[in-house]
Amino acid sequence: MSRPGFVLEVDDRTPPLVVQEGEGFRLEEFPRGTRVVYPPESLPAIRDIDGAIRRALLNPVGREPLPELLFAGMRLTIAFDDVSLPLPPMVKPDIRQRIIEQVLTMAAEAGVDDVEIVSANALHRRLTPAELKDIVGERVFRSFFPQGALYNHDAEDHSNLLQVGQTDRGEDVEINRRAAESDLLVYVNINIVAMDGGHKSVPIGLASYKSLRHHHNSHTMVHSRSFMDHTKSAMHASAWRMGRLLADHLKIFTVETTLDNNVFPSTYSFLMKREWEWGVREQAGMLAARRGLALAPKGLRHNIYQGIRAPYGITGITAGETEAVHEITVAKVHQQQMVEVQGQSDVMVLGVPYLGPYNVNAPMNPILAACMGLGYYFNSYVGQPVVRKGGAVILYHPVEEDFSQLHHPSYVDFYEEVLTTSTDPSVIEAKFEQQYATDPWYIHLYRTSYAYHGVHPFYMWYWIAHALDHCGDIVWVGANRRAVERMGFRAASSLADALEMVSGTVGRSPSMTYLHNPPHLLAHVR
Amino acid sequence: MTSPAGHVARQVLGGALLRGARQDLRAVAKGWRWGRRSLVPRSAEPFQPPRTSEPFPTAWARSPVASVAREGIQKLGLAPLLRSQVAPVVHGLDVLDRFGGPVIFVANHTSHLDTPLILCSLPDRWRRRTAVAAAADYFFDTWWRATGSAMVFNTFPIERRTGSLSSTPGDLLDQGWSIVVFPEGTRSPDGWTRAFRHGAAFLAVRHHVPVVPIGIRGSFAAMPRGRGWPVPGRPPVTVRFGRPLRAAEGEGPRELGARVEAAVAALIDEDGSTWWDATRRAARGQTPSTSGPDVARWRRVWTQTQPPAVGKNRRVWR
Repeated sequence: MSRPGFVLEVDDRTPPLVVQEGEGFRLEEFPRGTRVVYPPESLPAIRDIDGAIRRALLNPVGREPLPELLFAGMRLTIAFDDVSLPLPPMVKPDIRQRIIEQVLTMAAEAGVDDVEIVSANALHRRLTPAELKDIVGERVFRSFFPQGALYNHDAEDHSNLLQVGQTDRGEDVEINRRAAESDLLVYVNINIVAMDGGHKSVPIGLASYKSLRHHHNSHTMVHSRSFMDHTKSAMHASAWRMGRLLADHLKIFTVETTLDNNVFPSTYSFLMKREWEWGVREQAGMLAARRGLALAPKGLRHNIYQGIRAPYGITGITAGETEAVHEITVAKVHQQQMVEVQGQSDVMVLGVPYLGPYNVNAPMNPILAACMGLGYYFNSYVGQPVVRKGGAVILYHPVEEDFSQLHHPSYVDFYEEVLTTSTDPSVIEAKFEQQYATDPWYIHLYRTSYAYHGVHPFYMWYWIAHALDHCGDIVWVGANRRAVERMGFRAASSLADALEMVSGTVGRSPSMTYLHNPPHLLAHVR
Repeated sequence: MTSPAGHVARQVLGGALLRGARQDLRAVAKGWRWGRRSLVPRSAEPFQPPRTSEPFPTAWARSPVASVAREGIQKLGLAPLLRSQVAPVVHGLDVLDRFGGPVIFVANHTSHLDTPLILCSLPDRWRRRTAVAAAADYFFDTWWRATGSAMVFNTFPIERRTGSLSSTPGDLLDQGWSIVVFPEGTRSPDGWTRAFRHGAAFLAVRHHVPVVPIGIRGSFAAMPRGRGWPVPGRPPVTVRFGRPLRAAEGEGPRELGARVEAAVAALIDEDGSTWWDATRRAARGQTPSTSGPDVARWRRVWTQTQPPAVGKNRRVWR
C-alpha cells in the first residue's frame, strides 16, 4: 500500500531535509513552520507488462483494436517520445521498446510491409544511434535503422513536412509528411508529468517551427496557469486545436503509459525516503554520497549522475483515441503525483536537480537550470501557484556557465548576446527569435549534428515567463553570481541570506513552502 | 580551471574532505538524534506506517551464559545503583514462598523505575527465572536498545499497537519462566493508573498460571515520565506483592482481569493505610479508585508527585 503525498510542517523534531542542487545535494535546516510538500509513494506497478500492453492494444478506448486497423499494403508509421523522457532514463528494457515490439508483431501478422519508425523530437536535438537503440531495443534497431526506416524527425526538411491545414484561429498545422500521409500513425508515449501526452504528442513532437511558434511563445506561456493542467493552459489549448484538426485528416492510435515514482535506484535509497524515516543505511548512504561527490572531479560527478537509470514501474498502459486515452492517463498521473496544498505561501523553495528534459548526456546550463526551476517546478501546480503573486522563489543550483557546444550551440549565443540585451521574454521574442530560428548555421547543426534548434533557448526562456510575471523576487542559493545576474536574478550563499534578501518583498517572517522533488509531484493548491 | 587530480589533491590534502565529513557527521548526529530515540515530526505522524518489523529475537538473553552475565549486572550494578538513587521498601514477598513458579507478575506502571524495582525486589531464585514484557515499538526499535534491555532486564518484545499477542510470553510460561506484565500498556502520564488490558489475564487463563498482583507507589514521584534519572534525595518507593490469583473454574480473561485490577488497587490502598483497613474496604467494594479524581491535570500530577509517607522506624531507644 503506497502512502499518499502530504504536507509536512517543519518542527523541532524534523531533521535536516535533502535539497537537490545540480550534480549534488545538501542537507538544509528549514525554519520551523516551513511547509514541505512530499510526493505520494509509488503506486503498485503492473507486474505483467507485456500482457498489459497486449490487452491495451486489443481493447483500446474509442478505437478499433489495433489488429483491425492493420492491413497488407498499408503505410504504418510509429512515432515515439524522444530521449527527453523519462527523467532519469529508465532501466532497460524501455517501455517504448516493449510497446513498439508488440505493435510490430501485430503488423507483421497483418502483412504490413511499409513501416517507418520516427523519433518525435520536434526541435530537440537528434538522438544518436545509441540513444535510438536504447529506446527501441536491439531487435527493432537492427531491423529498421540500417534501412533508414528508423530515424529522427527533421523539422527543417521541408520536403518531408506537410501543411495539413489551419485551425479556426489561423494556426498552421504542419507535421512530418510521412506521418501525415500514413494510413495509421501509432504514437507511443511516456507520460511522466501531467503536461505530457494527449495532443501534445503528435502536433508538437512531429511539427515544424512554423507550427510550433503558435503555442511556444511568451504570450501563451504567461497564460498557461499552469502548463501542468492542460485544461487551463493556453499552450495546450492551441495544441488541442491542432490535434483535433489532425484527427480529422489522419488516423492516430495513441498508446500512453504512466510511471510510478521510483526515480532513483536502490544505491540512492535515501533520496526516496522521507528523512525522519532514514535508518542507518540511508544515513550512511547519504554521508558516503556527499563525501564521494565532494571528492569526485567534475567530469566523474557528471558521469555518475548521468549514469543514473530509474527503476520505474509502469502504473498504466492505455491505447486508443488520443483524448479518451489521455483522460485516463492524466488521472493516473494525478493519482501518483498530486498533493493537496492549502493556500499559497510568501516564499517557495525549490531544489533544481542535475537533469531536465533537454540536458540528457549534457551539462545543465544556466538557461536550462532556470527552465527546470522556474519553468517545470514552478508550474508543477494545478489551481494556483504555490507562491502568492508578488512572492519570492528561492532556488538551489550551482548555475555554472557550463554549455555543451555539441547540444546547445545556440544557447551560448543566447546567453552572451540576447540575455545581455534583455531578459524580458516578450522583448526577446520580438527582437531576436526570428534571427535565431532561421539562422542557417543553427539549422545545419540541428539537421546534421546533435544540436538543439536555434530557437530552442527562446522556448526555454518563454517557459519561465509565467514565473517571471508572477514572482516579486527570485534568488538562487549557492549559484554562480555572474550567471544568475546575467539572467536577471540574484545569488545568495545560504538560505538565511536568501531570506534576508527577499525580506523587502515578503517581510521578515514569511510563510514558506518547499517542494520536495524529485520524485515528481504536482501541488494542487486550494 | 582545476585538473581532476588537482581537485582530488585539494580535497584530500587541503583538508576540505575531512572538514566536510566532520560537518556532515555533526549535522546527521544532531538531526537524527544519534544515541537517542528517533522522532517523527508531528505533522507526519498520521502518515507513519505501522511497524511491521520482525520481532527481535531474545532467546539468546535467556541462555545460561547470558543469565550468568545478567546475574552479575543486576546484583553488582543495577541493584546497588537503584538503591543509591531511591529508597525501595518491599512488602509481601512471603507470598512467593508459598508456591513455585511460573507466575505472571502484574503491576501498575508509572515509571521506568518499575521494572528494576520489581526485579531487584524478587528473591534470587525468582528473579533468575523472570522475563519482562516490553513494548516492541519502544524498547526494540533499534538493535542497541533491544540488545541492552534484553541483556539487563531479560525483556522480550510485545506488540502493543496492533493488539496482537506474540507467542513468546506463552512459550516462556510453558518453559517455566515467570513474566512481568504492565497491563496498562504504557507508563501513566500523571501517576494514576489507567484501565488494564486483559492480555495478562488471557495468558493466565490459557496457560493455567497464577497472577501475582504488585502495587507500586512513589515511582512516579521519584522518576516520572520524561525524566531520565530519579529526582535527587533518594525518594522512597514501595513495592507491595499481593496474594496470587488463579482463574476459577469457567472464569474468563475479562473477569480475572477485573479481579487483578482490583487487587492491584487494593495493594496501593493497603500501602497508604493498613492491610486490615484496605481489606475491609475491598470487602465493601470501597477501595479508592486508582484512576484518580476527575480534576485538572495539574492537580492529578500534583497529588502523585507527593512521595509516599513511609513510616520511619520507631526509635526503640529514646
